[in-house]
Amino acid sequence: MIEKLKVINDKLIELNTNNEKELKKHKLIKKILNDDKCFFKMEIKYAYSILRDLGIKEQDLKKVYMELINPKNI
Amino acid sequence: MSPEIQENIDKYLIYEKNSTIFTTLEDYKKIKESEKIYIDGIGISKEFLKRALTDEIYYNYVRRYIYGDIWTLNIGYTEDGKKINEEMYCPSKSGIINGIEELISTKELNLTPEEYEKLEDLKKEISFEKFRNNQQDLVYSFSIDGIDYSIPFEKIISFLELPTPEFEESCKNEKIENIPKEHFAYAIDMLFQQSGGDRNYLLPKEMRKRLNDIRDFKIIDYQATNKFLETEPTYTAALNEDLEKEIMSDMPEDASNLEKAIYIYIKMCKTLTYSREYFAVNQRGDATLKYKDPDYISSITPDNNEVVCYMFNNMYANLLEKYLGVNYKNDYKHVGHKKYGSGHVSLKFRVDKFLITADSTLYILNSDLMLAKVNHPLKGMECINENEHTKQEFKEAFSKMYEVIKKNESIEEVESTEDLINYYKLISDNVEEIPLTEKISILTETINSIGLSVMDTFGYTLILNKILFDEKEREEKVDFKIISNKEVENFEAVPIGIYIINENGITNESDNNENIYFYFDPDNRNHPLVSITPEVLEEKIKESTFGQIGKRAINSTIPGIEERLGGKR
Repeated sequence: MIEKLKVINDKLIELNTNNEKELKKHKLIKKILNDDKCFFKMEIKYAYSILRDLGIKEQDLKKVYMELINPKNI
Repeated sequence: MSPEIQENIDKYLIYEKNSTIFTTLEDYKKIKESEKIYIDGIGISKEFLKRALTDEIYYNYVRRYIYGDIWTLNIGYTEDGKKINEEMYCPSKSGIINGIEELISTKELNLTPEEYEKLEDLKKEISFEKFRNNQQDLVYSFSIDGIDYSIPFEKIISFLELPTPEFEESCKNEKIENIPKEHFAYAIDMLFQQSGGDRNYLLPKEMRKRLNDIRDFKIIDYQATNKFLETEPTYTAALNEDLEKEIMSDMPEDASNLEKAIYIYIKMCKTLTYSREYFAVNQRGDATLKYKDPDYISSITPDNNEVVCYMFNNMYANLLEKYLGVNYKNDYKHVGHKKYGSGHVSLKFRVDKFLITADSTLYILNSDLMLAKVNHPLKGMECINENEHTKQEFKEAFSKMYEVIKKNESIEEVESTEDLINYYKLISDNVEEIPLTEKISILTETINSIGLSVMDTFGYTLILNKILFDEKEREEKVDFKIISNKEVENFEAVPIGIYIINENGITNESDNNENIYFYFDPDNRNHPLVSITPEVLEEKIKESTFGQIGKRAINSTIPGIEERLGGKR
């Protein structure tokens, strides 16, 4: 799952080259996602926030998050 | 000194008066309570050192010590003519001179020309030249890591006298004087210990510094040299063939001995898990007997993989000895429990220059056995060398092997990102509080699907508790207790978890409380987290089906349940 998020993040970086604020945020998210265990290191509300930033729909947040914190998917 | 005291000394303290300076109680206190100067870690009264050159009695006394006529420096006073109360010093001779010279340099001591002559006299007696003349023809013999060496005194002194660039370059080489540098450094240390050269003589400043740096293992790390030359006699049971194969599989052929030792440790943590039964009965009682039989080790397989600390220890020792020829020592935590199965034990061993301790189960629920399953940093295996470079080498080797193992599992490890997350918290505008009900839902559904073993599930649960619930929720609304369950077939007891949840705040009142209880039983893979009413829970506690796990375990008092677990056992 985290690989999919990385792809989305890369696209958002490309799309926001002229939006300094968004670009900065997505570059930061890119660094965070480089750590495959990052979702074990942050509270759920920040994890959801990152997922929202990556465009995950509100109704899918829980499902995606559960995949990310399942040790089988690390 | 009064004639009475002198008479008492002459009459009763005939022997002591030759080796002790007797003075009045008042003067004794003045010496004892004066500021101290530290020589080789021993505090010596500055007042005493000042008198060593300025008071004839004290000068003669210190001179006798420097010249080797007496072995200790004693200052005492008498009471009722018979009792002796005394302060005894046994400083190095070089230390006395260094201490006096420090007092001179700080202008706490001003000497007359005559007193300077006395100082020179003392320094001459313990000069480096005198030391060298006494020793120069000697050849020292050492047995180092099983090799016998004969090393002339002059060879070692010449090395310590090398110009700085050559000295530093020599220390970087693998060998010094055709001897492994660790052995040569050990020989230097031993030579000075045996000859007393640094204690009894004034070494040149640079030589003393080099000697101290060597002894602190700063320049050459020989801390492991001549250690673990033998293995402590220990019965090690053979490992199950499949288990051994699983642990040793995919070991990089070109790995160093240290890397191999680390690889085996991590693979063992990945493969084995802590015994739920042993944990549940708090490591006591009949249920523990099978574990205390060393041959039980042979029944552990990749599927039947529950072990306890001394089993892991024994298995690891076995593999280290078998594959790497490593000698080791069992390090029992409690004196008086020094046999297999009697208490917590870890392993100490040496691999080449590395001194290592390994303890995979120090904190059971947060042990390396659990952390390895989720690829978190391990903390039970440590390098205890003092040399920082050696510690770093160990860390790098550990990271390298963890990487290799994780890559074999197709998992990629990345550096910690806590700082990045903290920065994200500052700039993010999408953060919203998550309802407790949704968090509980995630908790139950995730635990239902992970498929880890019992003890690892508990460890994983503790991680989930931290990321799903904030501090305030953990304090007020969500509580987690681990207790024992005695109604599971084939086991005397197994550990179970109880979640206590109340969105309005957990209450301790047993009547009409709104706490919700979840019975968390990892042995039931289909429904590991199920609701349980307070009435049923209380009944199980009353009939002792559920019980506390020892006094040292997590506080098992369950909020809102009238019958307290602690009172039932």
